[in-house]
Amino acid sequence: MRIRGLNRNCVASVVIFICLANTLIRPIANAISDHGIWGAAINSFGVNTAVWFAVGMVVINLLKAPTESANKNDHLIISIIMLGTLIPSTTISWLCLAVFSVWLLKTGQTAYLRTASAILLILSLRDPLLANASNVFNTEILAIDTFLVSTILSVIDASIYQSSNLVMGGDGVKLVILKGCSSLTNLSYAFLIWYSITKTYTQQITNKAWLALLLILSGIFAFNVIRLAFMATGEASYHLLHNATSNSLQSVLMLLAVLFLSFWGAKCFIQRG
Amino acid sequence: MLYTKRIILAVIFSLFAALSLTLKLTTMDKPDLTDQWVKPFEISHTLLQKSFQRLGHSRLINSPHYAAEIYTGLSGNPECNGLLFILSMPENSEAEALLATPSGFQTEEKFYILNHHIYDTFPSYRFWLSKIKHRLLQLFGLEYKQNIVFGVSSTDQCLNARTLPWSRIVKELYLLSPQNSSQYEN
Repeated sequence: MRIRGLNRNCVASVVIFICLANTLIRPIANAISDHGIWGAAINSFGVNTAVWFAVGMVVINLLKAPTESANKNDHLIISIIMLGTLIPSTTISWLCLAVFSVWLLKTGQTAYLRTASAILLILSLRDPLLANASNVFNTEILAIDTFLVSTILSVIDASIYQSSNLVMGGDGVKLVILKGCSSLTNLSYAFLIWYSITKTYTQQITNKAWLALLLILSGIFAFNVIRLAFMATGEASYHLLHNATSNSLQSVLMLLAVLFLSFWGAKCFIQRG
Repeated sequence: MLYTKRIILAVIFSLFAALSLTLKLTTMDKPDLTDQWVKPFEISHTLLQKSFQRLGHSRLINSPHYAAEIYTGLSGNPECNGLLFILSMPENSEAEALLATPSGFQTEEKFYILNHHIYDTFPSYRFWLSKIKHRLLQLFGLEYKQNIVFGVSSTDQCLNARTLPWSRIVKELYLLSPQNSSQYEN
């Protein structure tokens, strides 16, 4: 289809690329600086795999979207967004991307462009919301994980109890649950993957997709809590489960489970019959 | 005409991309508050005047981020041999529970100091607002000073920890911090 004026999808893609580059440049630079280019590549350049996956889904949707024509309002919004990326703050860049996503969501004429925008919106809001929520509600968030870990362990050892984010036993502190151990970060990444797949491959979110989400979130939560409970049982199990290899293995297993359940929920497996 | 427009747009986008990414990369070296406060700081002059002695520096857990300064108090009073723990909490409240039982000791009193005020519980919301404010001002080059929360606990009420002049003590602790101490104020 021939359009008059600039190709809106093309311009939007460039703006999205620039915003994403601004948000991810710092962790990528740190990863390359710390581990070298190949080491950083193995560690997905310091950016969680879920983020790269979501970006991939956005690209797939943008490539499928039919061409639209850009108008003057688009030029204005894009100018504001580009000026926003000049502020040397990753959070501001994420918020610029969020604003641009909302704009595309409201004005996009095709389903593919709106899907890409919706995924981008979740992606761009995840980081700033999580960072600020975990600062303000840190005590409450950690207390949830600690409560569940203490509950599980108290079945084996009646002297186990919870004190804020400490798992206490008869002989003192068994485990301290810090921000990095909390389930919240993994849950947010899992939601991002599920949403990206579900929006890309289904017209509407079905009951099966919601069931898949429930299974994903409860599975990740349970996995994390049980892992923490094992870590609290002793020094040996703590070091076994709290090293780089174990963390990588856990990440891979969780990623595969989330991908499988998300595609299952989106009914993406070919039926043989 | 459209071709020219596209060329101009490509140049503008390239300039914006180059400039924004350069700004992000050149402003990456923000001091890591956590790293700065794990090093032991010397006893403050005010605590010394109040007859406190620094006993040492103890990690509360097997993580480099949370290490408390330990003081014995009131060396002139043989009936009061409590311990005072001062813990810097530059990020959030996750070490809050550690102050209740630092290094296995049971404490009788625990409070937090931020911006000249004493709080019974970690002032999460106020601390977050303080960080937002300082970050915004820093972005526009107006100010580059940030307060952190100090957690204080004592094993004996006789130390009267709350009545100590914390505004002065914290200021001295900031000045005694290992790096870039002039950047911080209370």
